[in-house]
Amino acid sequence: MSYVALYREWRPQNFFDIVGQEHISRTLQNALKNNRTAHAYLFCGPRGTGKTTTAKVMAKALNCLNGPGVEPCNDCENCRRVTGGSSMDVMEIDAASNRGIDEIRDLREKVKFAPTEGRYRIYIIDEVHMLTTEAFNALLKTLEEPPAHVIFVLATTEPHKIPLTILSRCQRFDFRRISLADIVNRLKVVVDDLGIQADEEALGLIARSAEGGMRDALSVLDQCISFGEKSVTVSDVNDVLGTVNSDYMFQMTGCFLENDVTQSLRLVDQLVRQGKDVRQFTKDLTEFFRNLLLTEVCTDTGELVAVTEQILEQMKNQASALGKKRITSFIDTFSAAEREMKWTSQPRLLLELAVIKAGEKTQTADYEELNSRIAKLEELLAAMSTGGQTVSRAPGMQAPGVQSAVMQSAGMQSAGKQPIGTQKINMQKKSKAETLPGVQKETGDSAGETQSVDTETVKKCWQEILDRIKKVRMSARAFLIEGEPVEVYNNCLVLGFAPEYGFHREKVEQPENRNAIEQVIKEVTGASLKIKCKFKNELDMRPTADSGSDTKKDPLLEKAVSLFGGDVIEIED
Amino acid sequence: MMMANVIGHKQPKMILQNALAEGRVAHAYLFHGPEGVGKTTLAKAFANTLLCREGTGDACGECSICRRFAKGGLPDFFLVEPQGNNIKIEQVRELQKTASFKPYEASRKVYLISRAETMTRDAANCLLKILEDPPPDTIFLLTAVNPYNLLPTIVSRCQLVTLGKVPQQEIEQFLSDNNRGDPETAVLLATLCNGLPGKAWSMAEPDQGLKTRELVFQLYERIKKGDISELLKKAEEFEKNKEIMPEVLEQLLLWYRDQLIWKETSDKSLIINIDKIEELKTDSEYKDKSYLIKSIQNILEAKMQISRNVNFRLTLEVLMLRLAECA
Repeated sequence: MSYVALYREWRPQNFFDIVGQEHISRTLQNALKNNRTAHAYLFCGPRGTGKTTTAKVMAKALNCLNGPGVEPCNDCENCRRVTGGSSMDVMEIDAASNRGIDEIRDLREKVKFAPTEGRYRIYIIDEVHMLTTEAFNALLKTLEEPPAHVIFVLATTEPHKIPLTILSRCQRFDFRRISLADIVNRLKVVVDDLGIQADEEALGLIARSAEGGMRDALSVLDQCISFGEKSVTVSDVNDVLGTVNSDYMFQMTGCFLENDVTQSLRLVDQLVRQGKDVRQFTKDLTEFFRNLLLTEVCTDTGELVAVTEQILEQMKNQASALGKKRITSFIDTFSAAEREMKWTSQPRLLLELAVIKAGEKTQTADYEELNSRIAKLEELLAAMSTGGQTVSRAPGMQAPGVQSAVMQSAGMQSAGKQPIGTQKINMQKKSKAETLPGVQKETGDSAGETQSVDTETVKKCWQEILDRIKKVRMSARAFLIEGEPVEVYNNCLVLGFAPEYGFHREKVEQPENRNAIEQVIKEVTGASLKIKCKFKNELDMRPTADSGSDTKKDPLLEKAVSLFGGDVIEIED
Repeated sequence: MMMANVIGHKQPKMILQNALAEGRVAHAYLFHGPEGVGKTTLAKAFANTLLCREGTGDACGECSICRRFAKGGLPDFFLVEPQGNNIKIEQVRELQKTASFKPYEASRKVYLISRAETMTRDAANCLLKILEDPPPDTIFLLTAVNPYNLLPTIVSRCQLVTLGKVPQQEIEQFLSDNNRGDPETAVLLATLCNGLPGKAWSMAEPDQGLKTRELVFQLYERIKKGDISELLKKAEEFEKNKEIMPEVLEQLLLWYRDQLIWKETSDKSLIINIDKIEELKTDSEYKDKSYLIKSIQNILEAKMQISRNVNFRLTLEVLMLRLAECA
């Protein structure tokens, strides 16, 4: 006789042994007692929670010769046949393999026959989500009104894939994940029966890794028993699961605390060399940080963090040293890495990236801090543009001095050399010179008020000019919108209008509009330009004098020349 | 094929042989670990051990079953491999049919499902039932790079066998015992393969592996120079030679990873491309950390896109431009 895996050997044979699903067992047993069994049940829930098992127990209870009672006797002919899988009246159908309409038609044919041994014919359709649409539809009629002797039990892990029409014809039972304590208790029963020594903590570890699935837990236990020969210890479990002990977590977190990237990368290396599962580790680390966070925010963690007193103390120390914000950012980093790992062949690399990020000194991930910094910068900018001084705000390369000065001041803050808040940014013009020498210099240069501006810049800023003029003089915008900036020469901005917009052109040239527009242009570009309006057809007649030099300056063209080399050939038509 | 001849994996071998000695062999095992770590090799050796008539805890290599196993003519051993890109539902149905027969000669039947993550959704679901309750004396061995790509219901029915990296010395020994290149190359390959004997083995092929690596470093030189027209030409070449691309990207990725790690730690023991250490020192000197991280992310993205059938050449060109741009 070949060996039967623990999870098969220990498959519960009555309702009493089914762990963690009392809400379902009770309902079904009451139905059995009162003879109120429905004709169709749908069992759904995560893997290893007892769907198929419950279905089989139910089948036995219904057909038991000593019944029908709330429990099968497991002793009579019928019960034994169901357990052995040879009963003529309990049909276990694998819907994933028999998923077509033909199989369902076949089933419908056979449904009519009366049971041979027991009271009912029970169809257990497992993995029912794999049936095709046609198969589901073919089943509908039978499922709604089956012959009196037929009971359907559908089982699946993915109830969302089942058509609504099927769902509404079944009594639905949702199986819950089995709690840690329940799994541990069951594992204890198994190891006691097998005569194997096992630590409570080791069983706890197994139960945690199973994530609520009894089958997973028993599988791992099976493996640990083969590994450890007659005893199961924590280190056995860690070896089998590819997990690490909590010491390792504390070391890793300690490295982050001291910003010691090298040591933390060594720890990763050690992990990989031992053949541990990198993704599992990332998952565990995230959970460890979750525990740290809880110890930090809760005064009494109690049941929420299931660790020993000693470890809890250690956690508290690390948690308070790290602080809430940093722990939260760790959780973000590592859970993102864990998500990515699903798709990659290089999980190690992702873990290393995450570790490097976590070991960094500055906490760039903190939105609040970033927000306050941005707000300060905005205030600064606003102060500069409305402060009377003409500071260029052109987005182009108009005023590199200003930009770099602003960036420097931001950089100074982000470097963290000066705590934020102590470096007060004075909004007054006078003291600006002290805090921002770069800006002062730049604005000093342009104190002559006439900055030269090229056509490109004006074109780039055009949208902003339009937006601003909306606030100053709405009507001017209405006229200006039809014009488009053509070129700048001799401190004049030439605006082109289509011939049919003569009226707009006239209005723009009126002094009050004209002054408003010129003022806005000055505010935006920093250059005082006069406006000249022309019709577009006039413009086309005039040969463009400086077009040659213009094309040379085109940054796109320059880049192309630098990339590919060669001469610029102009094509004129 | 004897289990004793499989290098590395001391612990998994111990678990399997313990199970055999105690008569606790489960009906389904899932071997998982990175590409080239020896999943299929170990699984085959274990299958042979299970089938061997002598029952010494390892394959004897001499009985008629072992000899025929080596030749591939044993009717009690079934190998299921992807047909094209996937393992299809027809293959699983065929498997279900044969599984209902008794073993011919050996005392068991063994199914090896190689690269189980390539099973289609239908095929995987179809396998569920038989994987949970197989006929007596039927054992399933599955291999997969990443068990998370399998259905959780499949994983929970198997005992997991995690295969970690193989120690360097063992790979070195293995290569020189099998006459794969001279001792010096063996040392280099053993370090480069990153604990994956399968990779070392294929890299030792005359026009494989190391040549790809040369290619990668040529490419890297170009990237360093920012020689874009040349890089775009390379992308065109690669398009004609698509098969090597995953390997090229992998190597490039590891090289950027080395630069980043070196920059952060300056610890030789963490570096993979150990023979290029001088280059590493000079190169990572002037490189920015954020640039390296960004490059790594770019390469990862390109890898993913290629696997998702995005226009091949376009992806490569974009990658080249991005890598060169911030160099």
